[in-house]
Amino acid sequence: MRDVSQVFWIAIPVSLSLVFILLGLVPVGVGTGGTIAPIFTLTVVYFFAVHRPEFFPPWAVFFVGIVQDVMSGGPMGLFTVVLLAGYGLTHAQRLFLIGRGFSTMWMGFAVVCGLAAAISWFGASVHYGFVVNPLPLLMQAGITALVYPPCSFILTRVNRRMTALVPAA
Amino acid sequence: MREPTNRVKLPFRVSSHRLSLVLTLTLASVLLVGRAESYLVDRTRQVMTDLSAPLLEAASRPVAAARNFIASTDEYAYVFEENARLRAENEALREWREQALALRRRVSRFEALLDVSVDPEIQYATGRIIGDSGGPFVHAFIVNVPQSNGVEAGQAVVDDEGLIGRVVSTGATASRVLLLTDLNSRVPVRIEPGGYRAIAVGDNSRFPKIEFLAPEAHLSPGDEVVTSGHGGLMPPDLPVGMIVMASDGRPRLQTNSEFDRTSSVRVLQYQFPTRVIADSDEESAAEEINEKDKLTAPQLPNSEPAANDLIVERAGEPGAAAGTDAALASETESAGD
Repeated sequence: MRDVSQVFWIAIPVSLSLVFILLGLVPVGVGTGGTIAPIFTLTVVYFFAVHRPEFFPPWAVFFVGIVQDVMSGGPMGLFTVVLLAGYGLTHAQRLFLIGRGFSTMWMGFAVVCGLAAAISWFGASVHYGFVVNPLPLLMQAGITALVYPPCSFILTRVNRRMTALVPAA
Repeated sequence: MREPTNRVKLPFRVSSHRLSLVLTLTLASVLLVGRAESYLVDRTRQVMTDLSAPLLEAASRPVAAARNFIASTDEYAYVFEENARLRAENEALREWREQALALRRRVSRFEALLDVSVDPEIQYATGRIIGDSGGPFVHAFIVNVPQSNGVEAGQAVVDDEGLIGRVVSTGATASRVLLLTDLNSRVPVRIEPGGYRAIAVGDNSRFPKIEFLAPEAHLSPGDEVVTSGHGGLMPPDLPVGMIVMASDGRPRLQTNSEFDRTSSVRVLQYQFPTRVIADSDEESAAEEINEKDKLTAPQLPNSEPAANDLIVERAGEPGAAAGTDAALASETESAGD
């Protein structure tokens, strides 16, 4: 029964990620030169890698990353690599993070954002063939870390609804 | 009974999860390093942009309303100072208007004397910015101007301050605009008052680089930068920005437009003048063009057109990129011979 409904449950984090991708594209007009939006999808990946990895498998993260790459117009594969690496790191530290308070979770997310910036910088430098300016990436990592609380608020509520229907593994 | 099954299932699930992560990560890395930027990716990008455009438009409306509200609140606080400034500016502009009208009359007289054909008036399509790539490596907007409005890739996009970029792809509901600051942006410009030609090269910073400048060019901060029109994609003389000097002493471009404040844009549907015919009799000119089209280059008959019978090189032919002015000049020279 649970296997049959697996796709439905996977659709929840994927749909949330797609909404967050669109949210990241809304022109808010804040930034320097071109605006720099946070990677909202990283919050979904992080949250589900800790609380519900069974409902957000790597291939679903891959799908979300590809959609984000296509929508952003950036180098193909960059967001996908960033999201998958963030997912991998978080999943590896899952036993440490699970059940911890909000501040620990937020700090963990900040570390993941730093890793995302480093991978993004390396990946973009390899893609373009020269060393790209890391400053916008650090700014993006900082902004992404700052948006975690409101995103976490939404994700926690979604997870509670899911837990009421399907207890965590 | 269920316990042994779970014991077998769990390690399998963990290892399959890891394997899946490694495989997807490898695939994504291959995409990144292999620079998977094909026609298929471009089309998919445009289709997804078209699909998401209605949602983005709906989402961007309240944001735009909030921005307008904040801006109007700001303006309200300085309404008296602004009023005084506008009065002074209005007075100065009235003088400029008189001068401009006098110059226009003069130019019209000269044009009539020389029997010059001017470029056709540029049509435009107006749209609103509904999406912003927001990435550190991509500076692009999504605007709600569809292909059906005559928008094509390559067309210049301006706001009320000047050039902001060019259209890179267009679809059924929206178009993508690459900003001047983007890493992939290259725009041929001219720097006034010296008239130096250069290329404004985006590097994802706020101030694009000025490259391919002649060694003898002498630039000063504040020099005006306009489009040169070379390449035929953009009309010449569109205001772009001004020169600023970087800390390393190299010139950079400060755009007139502040991209994070831009909300509405115009897409200029400029047609490169493939034929500029200075002949009052259009029919005879059209016949002449047809005749010349039939001939190959070496067979052109005594190619010495009359002074009032100028034909500009066709776009796409060697030398077409040199622009209308250069072509006119060379033709006039040959006519003079």
